[in-house]
Amino acid sequence: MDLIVKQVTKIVFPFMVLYGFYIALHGHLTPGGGFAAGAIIGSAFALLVIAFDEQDVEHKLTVHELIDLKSVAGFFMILIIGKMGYSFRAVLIESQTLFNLWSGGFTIIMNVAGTFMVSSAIVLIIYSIEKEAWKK
Amino acid sequence: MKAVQHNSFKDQKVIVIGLLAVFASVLFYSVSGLHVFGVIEKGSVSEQYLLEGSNLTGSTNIVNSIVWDLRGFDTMGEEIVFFTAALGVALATRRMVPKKKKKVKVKV
Repeated sequence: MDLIVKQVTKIVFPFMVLYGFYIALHGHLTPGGGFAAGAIIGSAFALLVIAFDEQDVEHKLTVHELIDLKSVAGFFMILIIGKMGYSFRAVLIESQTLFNLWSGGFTIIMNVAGTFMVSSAIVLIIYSIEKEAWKK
Repeated sequence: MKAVQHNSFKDQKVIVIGLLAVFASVLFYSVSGLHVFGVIEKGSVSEQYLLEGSNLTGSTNIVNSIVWDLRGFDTMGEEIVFFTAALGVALATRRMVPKKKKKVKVKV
């Protein structure tokens, strides 16, 4: 891609990821949630993959690493932490007050787990398609 | 021969129209049972969610609390579907490494 796109991506990328985590952590107070936050973080990584060439990106990640680390981690976060959240929900809600950041009981945990899951799936899809395009 | 084909085609048309009429009547019947938009019925699950949702789940965003907490099991299923779709894309676009052919030494 262009020099302009590369420089703008370098500047914008951390803010996009930060905004995604903001949406995830405030999902129980403001509009948004796990799906939207995961889509924002995934789009940030998609911008990174599209803007830079093969030699810049491919040394840092491989498809197998992505499958191993991120997707499976998010998947098991949903399963295990979600199960824990259901069993400790009453205890969680008792320790919280409404309208604070630390509120929402089980929702806040599930939002973060869903963010990891959705963002990792989007990164996996875009990275595998883009890698196929680089080969040709 | 042609007349027979024509007759069977006509029969098919009648059957299809009849099935569509049955389907449409069932759809209209189910839609007519819905309550009026914007009016909360007493004793319905929507009233329960609106009145007690934030106390039940502790979150003030009712939509998010329904999606991720009260219907959390359904959302987990959605995530599994999404995960499987991503794995399918990775499987379809993976790099295939061809097997090396063994060189056969021919003894002279």
